[in-house]
Amino acid sequence: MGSLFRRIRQNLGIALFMFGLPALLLAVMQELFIVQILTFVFIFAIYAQSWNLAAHSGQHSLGHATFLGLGGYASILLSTRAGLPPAMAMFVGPLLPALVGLVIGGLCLRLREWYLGMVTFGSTAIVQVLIVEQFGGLTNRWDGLDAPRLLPPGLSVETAALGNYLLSLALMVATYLVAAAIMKSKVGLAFSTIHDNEVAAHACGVSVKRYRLLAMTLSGYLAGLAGALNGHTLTRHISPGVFGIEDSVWPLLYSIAGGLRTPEGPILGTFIVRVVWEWALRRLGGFESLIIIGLMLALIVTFFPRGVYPIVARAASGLGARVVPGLR
Amino acid sequence: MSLLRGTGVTKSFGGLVALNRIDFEVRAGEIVGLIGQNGAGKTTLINTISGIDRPDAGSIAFDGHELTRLGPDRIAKLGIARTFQIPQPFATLSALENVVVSLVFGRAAMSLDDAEARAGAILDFVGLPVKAGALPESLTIVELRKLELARALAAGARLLLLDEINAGLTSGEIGEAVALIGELRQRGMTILMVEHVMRIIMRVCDRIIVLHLGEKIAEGTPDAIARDPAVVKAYLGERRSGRGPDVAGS
Repeated sequence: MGSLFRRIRQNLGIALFMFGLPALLLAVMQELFIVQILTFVFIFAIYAQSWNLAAHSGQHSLGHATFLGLGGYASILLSTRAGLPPAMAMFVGPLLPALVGLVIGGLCLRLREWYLGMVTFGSTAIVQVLIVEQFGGLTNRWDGLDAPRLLPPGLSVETAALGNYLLSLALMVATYLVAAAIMKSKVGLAFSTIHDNEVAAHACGVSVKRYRLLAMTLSGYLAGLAGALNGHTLTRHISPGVFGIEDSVWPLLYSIAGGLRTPEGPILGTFIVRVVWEWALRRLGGFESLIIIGLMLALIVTFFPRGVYPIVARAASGLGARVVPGLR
Repeated sequence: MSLLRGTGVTKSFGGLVALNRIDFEVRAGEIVGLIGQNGAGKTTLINTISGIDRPDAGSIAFDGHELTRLGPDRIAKLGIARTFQIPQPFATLSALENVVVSLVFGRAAMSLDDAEARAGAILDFVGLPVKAGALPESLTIVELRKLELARALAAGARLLLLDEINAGLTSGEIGEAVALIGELRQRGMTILMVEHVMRIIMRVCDRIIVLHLGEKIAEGTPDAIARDPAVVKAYLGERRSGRGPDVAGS
């Protein structure tokens, strides 16, 4: 345990920076729409982090919206039907997508790459139908459910927005520390061996099945947490549209742009893609912003195939900062 | 005392019988060579012992455990480590981390910290002193085979299965390889090795098992094998064509 804390300490500096900078930003700037865009970035960085954690074990999901959506539905239902306060439901609800992650992971145990992608993608369609048809009475079918606020009612719109901003930021940083600790631990090493070579991992004594299931379960939980947080803060509503293809693709793009298989990459990637997107949307318009995003992603993968984070890390260590890049 | 004993081990791929009712035994502290032409079933035998392939029939007992029903990770943890004929490094982990994996997840079950402190010495032992962060892609094929050996040694295994770790060595390197295996013997390691380099096989092995088209055609000391008519006909007899392995000269 002691060694794990020593390993995490290397990330504490980065975590402090990640928390401190946006918190400072809040002190000098309180434009509501910027606050909301950044809240969105924090929540979807958690989501991208969850995708990246599964990818770290070689399981590249194309259907993570399953977990995002189920986390949202479970948390909202727990707070509206079971009377749990949203702040608690938000952490209990994601146990459902964690369980679903375990099941999907089990179904995919013999699959890799595109084949695993196909099954995970298929899961979004199946879950969407189940939510709308089988559980329609509970979920209000295509109309969806309104979500109670995370923060106590009666706060002004501005105060609530600032509260959501800080809570999402804190959860993003906490998720970052958890992901970084996992990647640096024995578990992360096992994930890497499975990512690289399953046959050799087996031969070295790695319990491949167990670690693959662990990765999918953890990933399901964290994605569900992002979905719940999103529902209780930004959208205040959830509908079966959440299981669409877009929300399955975004975490993949964020992680690749930022730096696959690093705990910093998904956060940086989400920030860059979303901020450029929002800027382009406001300055240039809908079609143009799509072109800008497409072009930017193409340039990133062409010139920085390992994502933006390694470049940033190198620059930071050049400035004397203690940043430890690398895959673990 | 028999550490590993196979009885009637059979494995087919489609219509091809890769192993046909093979009986074999490796005693503790012994070095056994496994030879035969391409397609003889040598690697398949290694795969069935290490759990990568499951035999269709027969049993393999290791130190009282029946292996044929266990997964490869369980077999590794029991204390059987192997190398792959085509090196299978963890490509995104450094050479050092490749060794750390075995120390942590193998029979030794070391903590990550202890493993990181120990791994360098194992790389030195196999003659692969590399820079800390060196990735497998920066290694030559001979170095990758050394990495395979280092990873197998790091597992803290009681039985090593070596699948052609000495292919493509120069004459000087063969001397080093023989010395290295001698060192392992000193430490009491039990080894079953597939090998094409006859100079190594003849010098280091206590016994040799000869496979031919999935059948065991001979078994015995190196000297006996070199004189065995069935072996000479099926395998060593190639020498008459002028391209076979040099047995008499070793």
